[in-house]
Amino acid sequence: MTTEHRTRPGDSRRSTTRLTRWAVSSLWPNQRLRWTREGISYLVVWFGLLATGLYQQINLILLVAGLAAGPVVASIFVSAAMLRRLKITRRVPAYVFAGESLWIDYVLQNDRRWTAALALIVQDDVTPVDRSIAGAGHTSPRVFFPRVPGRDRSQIRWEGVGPSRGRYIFKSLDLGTRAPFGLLERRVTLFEADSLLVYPRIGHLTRRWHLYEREASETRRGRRHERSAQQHEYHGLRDYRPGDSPRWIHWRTSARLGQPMVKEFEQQHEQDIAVLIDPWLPRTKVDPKQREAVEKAIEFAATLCYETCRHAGRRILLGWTGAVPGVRQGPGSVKILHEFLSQLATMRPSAEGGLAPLLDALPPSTLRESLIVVISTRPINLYEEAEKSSRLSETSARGVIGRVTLLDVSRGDLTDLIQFGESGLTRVGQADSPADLVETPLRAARPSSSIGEPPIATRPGRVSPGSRDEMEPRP
Amino acid sequence: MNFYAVYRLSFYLMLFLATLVLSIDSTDANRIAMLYPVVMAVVCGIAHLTVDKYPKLGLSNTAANVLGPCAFLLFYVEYRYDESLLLLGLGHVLFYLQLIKILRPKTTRDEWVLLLTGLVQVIIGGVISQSDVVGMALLSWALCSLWVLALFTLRREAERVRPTPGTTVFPAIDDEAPYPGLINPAFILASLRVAATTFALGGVIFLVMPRRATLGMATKGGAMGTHLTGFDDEIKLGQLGEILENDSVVMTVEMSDEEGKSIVPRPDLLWRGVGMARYDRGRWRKQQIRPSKFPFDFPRRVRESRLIRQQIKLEPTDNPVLFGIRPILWAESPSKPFAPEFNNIDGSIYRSDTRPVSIDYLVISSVNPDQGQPTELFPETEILNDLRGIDPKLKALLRPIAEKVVEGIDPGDNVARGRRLESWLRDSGQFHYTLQLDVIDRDLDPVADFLINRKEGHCEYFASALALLLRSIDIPARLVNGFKGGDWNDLASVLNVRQKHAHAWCEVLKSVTPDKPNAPPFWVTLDPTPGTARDESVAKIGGISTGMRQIIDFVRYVWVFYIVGFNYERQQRFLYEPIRLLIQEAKHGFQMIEQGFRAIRDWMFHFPNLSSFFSPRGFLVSFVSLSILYAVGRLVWSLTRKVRRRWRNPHADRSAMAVGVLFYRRLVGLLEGCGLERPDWETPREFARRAALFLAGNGSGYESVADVPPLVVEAYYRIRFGHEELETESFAMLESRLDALETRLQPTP
Repeated sequence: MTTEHRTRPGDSRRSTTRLTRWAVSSLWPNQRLRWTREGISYLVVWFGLLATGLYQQINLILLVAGLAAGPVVASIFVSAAMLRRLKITRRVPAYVFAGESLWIDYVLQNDRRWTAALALIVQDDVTPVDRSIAGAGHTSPRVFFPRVPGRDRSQIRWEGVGPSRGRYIFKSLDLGTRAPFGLLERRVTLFEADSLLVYPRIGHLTRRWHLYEREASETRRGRRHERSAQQHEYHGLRDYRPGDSPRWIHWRTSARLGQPMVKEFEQQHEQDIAVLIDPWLPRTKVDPKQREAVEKAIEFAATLCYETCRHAGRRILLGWTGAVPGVRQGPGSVKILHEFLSQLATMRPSAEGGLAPLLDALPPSTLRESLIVVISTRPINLYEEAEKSSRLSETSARGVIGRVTLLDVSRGDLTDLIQFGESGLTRVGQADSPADLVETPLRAARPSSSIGEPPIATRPGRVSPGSRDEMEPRP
Repeated sequence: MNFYAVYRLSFYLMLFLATLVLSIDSTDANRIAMLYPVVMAVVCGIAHLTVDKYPKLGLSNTAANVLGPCAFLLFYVEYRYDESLLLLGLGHVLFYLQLIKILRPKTTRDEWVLLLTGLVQVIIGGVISQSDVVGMALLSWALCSLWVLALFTLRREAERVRPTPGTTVFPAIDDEAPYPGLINPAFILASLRVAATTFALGGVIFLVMPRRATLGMATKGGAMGTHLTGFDDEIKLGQLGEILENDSVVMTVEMSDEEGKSIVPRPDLLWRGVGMARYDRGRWRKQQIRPSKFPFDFPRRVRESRLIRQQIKLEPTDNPVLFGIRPILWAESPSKPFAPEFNNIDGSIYRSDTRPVSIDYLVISSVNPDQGQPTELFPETEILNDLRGIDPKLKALLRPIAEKVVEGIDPGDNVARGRRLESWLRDSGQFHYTLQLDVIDRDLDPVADFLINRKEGHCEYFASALALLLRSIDIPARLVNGFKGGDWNDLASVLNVRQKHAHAWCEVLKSVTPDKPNAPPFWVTLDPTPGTARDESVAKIGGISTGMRQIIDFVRYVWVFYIVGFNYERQQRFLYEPIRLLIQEAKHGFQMIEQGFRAIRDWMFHFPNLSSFFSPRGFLVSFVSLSILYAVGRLVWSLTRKVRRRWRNPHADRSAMAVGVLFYRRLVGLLEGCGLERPDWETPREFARRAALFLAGNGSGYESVADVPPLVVEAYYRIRFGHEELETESFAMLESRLDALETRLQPTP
């Protein structure tokens, strides 16, 4: 976006349109001037000088006062000239994980022939769309362009920590300068809207969770063995337990050890999983701990989805309660993970709805055979919910309840199941960072600023090649 | 080039110039004044090599705390030495404190302090002296300050904008070289452009600043004014020769006629100063002073006579004498304490306040030299005796010479006799002009020695000789000291009168009795000095080529008249009066245009009766009026529509598109209200399907509106992607269906 015009769709060349545009931009200027601290001090001294000169009528002091006024008046014009013919482009990732590294690239292009752009400050504003999310607040990235020569461009990358989950919008950014004398600061506000989706924080599922999961999977009733165990990968051996299929017995080891040993498969990877989240919050008198519980629930759900989608082939379903319960499902993939994370990122707590309507909305296959993980922020009686459900008969309800892992966050059920590492900046580059698995695509730069532009060198401080949208999938 | 090195050197240069402004014109008051800038330069150099590179080498806090009071102690000593130097002493305190600051490690705050103390020094320098040398130093300082301020801002910005904790920026700013490649021709050119803009704006602001009409027109020049030898109460013959070899400017004169048009003066113009009456052994004494007001009805006289207006800027002198062209009709000064007064004994003008300040005054003289000096008193007997007074011995020596020269001329014709003697001295070839004076006979009176023995001298000898020769034959005569000619500057259209233009001439009284009662005496000016020889002598002094002198004089003129001497009167004359005139002209022009339009309107719309309206003229008027009305209406309508569209939805221009999008947005808004939001990954069509299912599954009347989302989205698709235009009926139907949806979704009370 250039500093001279705001982006308007349409490219009408009609004079009336131009006239209207000019009139609107004149009536609603996007530039503003303000005194700096130094400028105010300077003004005070100048007034003293002027008063002395006028009182004494000494022309030499009046001359000094006049010349001293020159920089103030010149600042008005020169600062405007300094911001002329500049283009600022913001490149933001389409999404980022909360607590992970957030980077934003700012590219300043100077279209002037000779004059360098000096000492320019870009001040951005990232605003959460939903302020009710705990921890969601403003972030104001600020970068400084010391010098951009004429007909050149410069890129500066700002890096910070991703804020809390949610959708964030970039409404406008300010390009400011105090050049040439530091007495006045001129800022031009450029309306360059953009958005950023901050996915929930991803943690590490603990060994305890994996044990829970395995137990739930193994002890479930009505499980089906139509899938051949031979097709699955086993990762170890364990003692035989009642109910284990004789086909799983590893005869050679059993013979060697003198006790029955069975092969332990990665069954949890094979079995479909349904993650049902109940982000309940009371309508009034919300305790901060309850808000925190909602966030924990969402983070756990996100981590679960993330872990599940790491291995392709396993079907996963994400369901959520609320006034309108929602369900998304599909085979584990990066694409479905993005969908789930987007949903979880913007998920709002609700005082309405319950598990029963959600159970009604689940596909029959899920009710029949999936491992169901219910994450709630309130105590839930599964039998009561099953009774409320219009789709579950008594028999099927028993079967479903047998496959449900119920986690009540308000009770602290998640404490031992998930762990979080350190904040994002320290994790950049680590192999297990979620950002590494789900490659973060760049949000495309505005077409207006990339069309016809020359290729850009990729040396430090320069702009990297334009959009990577074509190279990387977007959710 | 390293940014910080350039910045530091510029900063120190600025401090040096500030000290120079303070000191350059105070050498008379303080003999070691010029040592201050030198010390500043040396200390800055030391600081640059030591503390700026290795902060540990800077002055410690303790040392600075000890040296601070020492600065004030030095100020006290200076003040006790000469109490009149209080202001200069204050400037020196700032200087000492600056030295301490410079020798310490400096933060940006310290640099601000140094910058401001430099400014205060400059102000003090400006108050102490307003001479042109101070002005040049001040302008250099101002230019340097601009440059430093710009570099200072860059430096401060690089330090100010640091990443906040928890954030990083790549590439990070290099602390050593925050602006790589900054100093290049483009930057210097841009800086010069900014400096020119700033100076021009500053100059305009200076010019429009309000000036008071009554005060402050007299401005200080140096610490002391120049003493003009030859214009004292008593002068010794030959003293004038001292200033004849001096090239300094005494006054600058703008000359115009009665209409204010600039005129070029004659080269032999005489600037009358002081009249000398009594002569005694080589010493002339000034005539007594009897002050009187200028009694002329000045405005009326302007209408009657041809005049010469002389706007004179007199450089600071300690003499009360003021100069002007005779006959002087009027003289005034905007500065009351220095207002010219008229001496009706000898027709000269003077000032009572002899403080050495620069004075602006206006003299209006008549073009007619035969008019005589109005209101000058006819010499009383006592004065007349003085004007004829000559030592008997000297008279005995001179009378034979004079009588021999004036032989055959009517003894009653003083002027004719005087002219003959003038011609004899000037043109006979017996006497020569020289500034080298050698006394041949010390026993003789210097004038007699000149006439009899030496026969060469400068104007004072020629004029004295003529006056005494006339007195020896009983003709009243007096010596007048003043200036002759000056250096005319074509660029500025002003006359610069220098000390070397000092001149003496003689005035002879035409008649010892008034022609009419109360008529002023008629004094005839006689200049016996050989003109060519004098001009050659004057031209030799100075030694600057004419072209260069023109330029220097022009710069000086601008400084003297439009900066230091830019007073209320000049501001009115050069700024506000032309603006007023321009406004009046514009007003007049608009009035003419208005009258023209009014005439056309009267012609067009004047229909005395109804039948006259039904005529070709009436048809034409009706047609033109309605056409204009129609065009204006269309334009207003078009603009209103555009503005309304933009106001409602700045992102859509096409009306159909806008309507389609609005419908869709309304649907989205309604569904959002009941908790149905469309995520990014869901297409509008999928969303519509989901919404329909939701509405259908909700029961209790929602089924009736379950078809609305797909309906609206399909219409939206047709407009948005199909580029189709919907019919009006379709729009109405969509509108009504959306209304139904909205009604249904409203919570029931």
